[in-house]
Amino acid sequence: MSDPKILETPVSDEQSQPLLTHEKSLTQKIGHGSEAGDLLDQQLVMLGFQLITQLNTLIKTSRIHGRTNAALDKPVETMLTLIQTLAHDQPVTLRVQNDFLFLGESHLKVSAQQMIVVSSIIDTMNKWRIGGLTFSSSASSKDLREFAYLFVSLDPATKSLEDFRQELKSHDVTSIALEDPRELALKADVDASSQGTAVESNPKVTHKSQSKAAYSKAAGSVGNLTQSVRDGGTLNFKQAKRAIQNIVDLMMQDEPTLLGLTTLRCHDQYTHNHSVNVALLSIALANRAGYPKVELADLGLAALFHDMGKSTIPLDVLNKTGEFTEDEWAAMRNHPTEGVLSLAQLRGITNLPARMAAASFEHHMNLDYSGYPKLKTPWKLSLTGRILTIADCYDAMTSSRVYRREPMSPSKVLNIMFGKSGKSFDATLLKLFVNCVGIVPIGSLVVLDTDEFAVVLKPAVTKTDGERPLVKVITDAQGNPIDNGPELDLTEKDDVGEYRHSIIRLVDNTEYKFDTSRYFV
Amino acid sequence: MTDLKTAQEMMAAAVAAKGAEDPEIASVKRVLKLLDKTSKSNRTYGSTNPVAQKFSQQLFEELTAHLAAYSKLTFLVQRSELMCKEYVVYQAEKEGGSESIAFKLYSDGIRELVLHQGLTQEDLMFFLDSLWGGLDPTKDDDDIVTRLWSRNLSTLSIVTAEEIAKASVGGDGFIRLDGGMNTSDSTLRELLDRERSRKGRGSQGGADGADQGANPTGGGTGSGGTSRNNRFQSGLVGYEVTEEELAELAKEIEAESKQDSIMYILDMLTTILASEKSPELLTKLFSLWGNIIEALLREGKWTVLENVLGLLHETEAVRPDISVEHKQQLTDLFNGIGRPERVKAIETYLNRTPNANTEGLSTILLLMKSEAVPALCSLLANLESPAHQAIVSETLQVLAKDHPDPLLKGLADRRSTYVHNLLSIIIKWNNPKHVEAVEKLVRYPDAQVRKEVVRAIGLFRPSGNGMKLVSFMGDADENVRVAALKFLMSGQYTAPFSIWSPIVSAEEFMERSMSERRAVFQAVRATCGDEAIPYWENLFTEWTWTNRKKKEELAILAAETLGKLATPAAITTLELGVKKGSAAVRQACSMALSQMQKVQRGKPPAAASR
Repeated sequence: MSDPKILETPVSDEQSQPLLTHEKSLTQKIGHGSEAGDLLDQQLVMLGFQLITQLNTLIKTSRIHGRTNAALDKPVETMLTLIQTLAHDQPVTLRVQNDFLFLGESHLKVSAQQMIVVSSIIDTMNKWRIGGLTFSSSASSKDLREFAYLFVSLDPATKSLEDFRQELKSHDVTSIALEDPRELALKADVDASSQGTAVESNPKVTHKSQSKAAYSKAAGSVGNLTQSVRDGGTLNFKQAKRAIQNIVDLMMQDEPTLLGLTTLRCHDQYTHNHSVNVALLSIALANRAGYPKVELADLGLAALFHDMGKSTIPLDVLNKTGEFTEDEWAAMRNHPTEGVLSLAQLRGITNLPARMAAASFEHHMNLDYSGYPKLKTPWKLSLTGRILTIADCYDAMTSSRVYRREPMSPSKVLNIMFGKSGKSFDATLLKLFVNCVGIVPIGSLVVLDTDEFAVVLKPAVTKTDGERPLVKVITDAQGNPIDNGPELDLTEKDDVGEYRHSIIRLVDNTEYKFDTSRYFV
Repeated sequence: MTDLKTAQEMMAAAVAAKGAEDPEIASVKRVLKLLDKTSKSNRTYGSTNPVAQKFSQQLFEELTAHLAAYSKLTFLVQRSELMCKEYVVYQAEKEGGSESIAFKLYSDGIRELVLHQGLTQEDLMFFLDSLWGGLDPTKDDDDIVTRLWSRNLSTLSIVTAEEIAKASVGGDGFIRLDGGMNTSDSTLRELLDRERSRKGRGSQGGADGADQGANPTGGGTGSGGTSRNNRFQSGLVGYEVTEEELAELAKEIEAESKQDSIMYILDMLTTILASEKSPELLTKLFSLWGNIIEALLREGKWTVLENVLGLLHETEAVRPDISVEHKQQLTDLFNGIGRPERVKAIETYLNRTPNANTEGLSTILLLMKSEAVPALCSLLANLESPAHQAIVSETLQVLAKDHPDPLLKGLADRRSTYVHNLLSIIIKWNNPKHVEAVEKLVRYPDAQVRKEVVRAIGLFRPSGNGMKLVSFMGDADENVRVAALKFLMSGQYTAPFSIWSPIVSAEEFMERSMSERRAVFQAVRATCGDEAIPYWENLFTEWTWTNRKKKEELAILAAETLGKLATPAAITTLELGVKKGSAAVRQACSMALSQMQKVQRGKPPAAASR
């Protein structure tokens, strides 16, 4: 066997240009170091399908031409561009579970036209019993050629997946990994297994995992659509709608777990935690106000896009650390109106939900109209707007973002907000909101009467026990940090009827820049 | 030997098992086959078609029976198959692709679908509509998953591949921590140290820096200390939400759910228009109104658009401060209502919605400028419903009166309904200037159009040269000929007999009905007078070898006509007929003469002597 001449083909920008028509926004995001989970959904689908197509071409070409032929140049180059784009932050995995294709954890939706190529890849991977192909950004032309050649030259009937791995290793291909096959369990089996006692099958763990996934999806869809607005594209809420519907379902099952995720504060505009937090808080509040389930999703979607008007503000202004100039403030004050106009323009007035328009227009207006925009004609604040005002203010003030440079602790924020009950905020809704997040709000850092430090996980079930939430201990009495500390229900009493544990003080964690979100994610 | 026997027994058992299919699987297969059939017939013929309804009913009955027996129907989705208990219960046809139920579910990422007992026919139809997206084609925000979720069906549940993948493997790519804050143990340590030192100071001089819980009354305490008496108290007052407050919220939620979304957003935009100071936002708002006009036209919301335009009309009164540029934008908006693409949008909507409510449409069309006339002509040409055509015709009658060229050009169009409508408009204008354009249509293929052309010519040329009208005598349609004859018989027109001669001499003339031939002779009398007498005289005297009966009929009609002509030359000709004609002709001529004498006697002396 002759020593193959491996071609290391540099990928130029020009070559990648026609492939990645969406490149501008994606590279911009990646260039600013966004998370992989923040990749735009539509782009993810497009790139995922391109990766599959090129992989299919590579394998087929390799079967005919071996590994060095120039016929492989194009698929290799294109694949490299795709891998470098997709695996910028972390390796990207193309996974097959049963018949479903995933890119990372995201299901790849395929059209009937794409099915021929997709079927070919699924069948090929199934033949080898490969569960997933992971490509890291260090993948080279040589790696891809070697991989494809081994793929077609080894016989899956006589060689195992482990043999394949060994061959890759012996050919020095370390940037491509083969995953074992994974089967999708039946829902009933998953549910049954989560009844077990093992930590990994704990329903709470499963629920938390699902909540986090829903949170990520929602954040991703906001990112997607915000970028679309910046690029002058269209607005399709399909992905966001699914994410919000999922959140509503999860919220119905376990509200505190989802509200716990709102402790993820937002400090720049590349992540869209604020929008998701506002959506979660709004859904929780609306749920308590009595919204029907389907309408909760409508409200949640509206909340998710309440800040769409900011998409026209330059990112360097949004993320500015110094004081705003007068013009910059004007732009910030205009964002509610800007949002309505953008949404109406991109969606069309007949296709824009009223709640979405209200959420954007009214979320800074305040109950007494002391906020902005200032109006010259009478305007009745909607229920949606009043809910959004509370949720937005709470999350904004607890985050160190735009309106305040320093975050405040949840309890301080609630106190401030209560000072404006009936003025800036609807009094009834604010009371309901406290019932959601708790008098000692979720995410608060507290000192117990045992001198232990703890984080509030969940408000007390009954209002009379308002100051006795469920907490997680994070230090011992000596102040030593504890991993996996116990969760304490502060309503529990001892044999003589005394409370076992009580809060003696709340600690402003933000003063120390200590983030409690780690205990929720 | 024993092994062989065992193997044979196992084989036999396997074959027997295969032959006797699990009744549940057989039932699932039947249901899915019917589901496939129903889906196909619904898509092909529409759900109201009797065939589709028959399948729907069968499907519902079969499914209900299955659910009654097994309580639920669960199947797993693969790209071209549906599985139930590891059996393939549905397979897509080859090349079926997007038509296959399995692929439809698969492509939306649905892994499992469960139908539960209690599923109603309505639920089932909603499910089918969801599969094929037939609910509202304009809403592309939905897929099968979101549609079914929105319906909140307790009898149908789905599990997506993504959901089950995450639950199976606990995938979690969720690491998004606060960039401005820290979670490290060192920070926690720092926090603890500082808290401890603060606590030390606190024990000497109070709870400095302690946070407080939320407190609506401001009465909460955050006092430090380790004793139970010093524990945190929130001052829990005022958090209770009363039943009245909840009832009030319920009312608001209901009202919000029922509100008209478009009207609400329009109100919002109106408020912005009245209040906004930012020139950039106003520019954006004015350009948005253009989109709104288009959207409302597309959706056929004429009365809403009427309101919007009314409101925009008042903008300058409400906002006298707007800039010249914005005033120009406003002017452009009004001038642009009739832009071709907008008129096209009206066409699309109306043709898609034959029974559309057209209230307000006329007002919208009349707000268009004369520049919209060509587009409106095109709209009139393409509209399918006569009721819709009538509305546009009325508009064109007003808007195109001083700009008739597009309509006159349109007369050359091949679509007869369109040309007919145009002629109706032109007739209503009653402008003789348009007669030449109309006269070009004498040979238009459609008889209704030609008849309308006759009407138009009669209107635009009420007297004088009748040659154009005579040219209709060769028309293939009797109604057209009769319409032209009515005008020619009126006595207002003249035409030389040389034009009539080929018509009345033609063989086919004799094949026409008696009434028509009589009308032609009367028209000849009215337009030519004595000039035609030689022709009629010839009918009395010519010797006919062929077609004698028909020619005799003509001669009788000629006698009748001459009697009505009643000029001296006519009388002379009739007298000739009495002498030389056949028996029937003689009788007819005599009768005509006697009728004429009766009429003469009945007239006053002055008239009789004339």
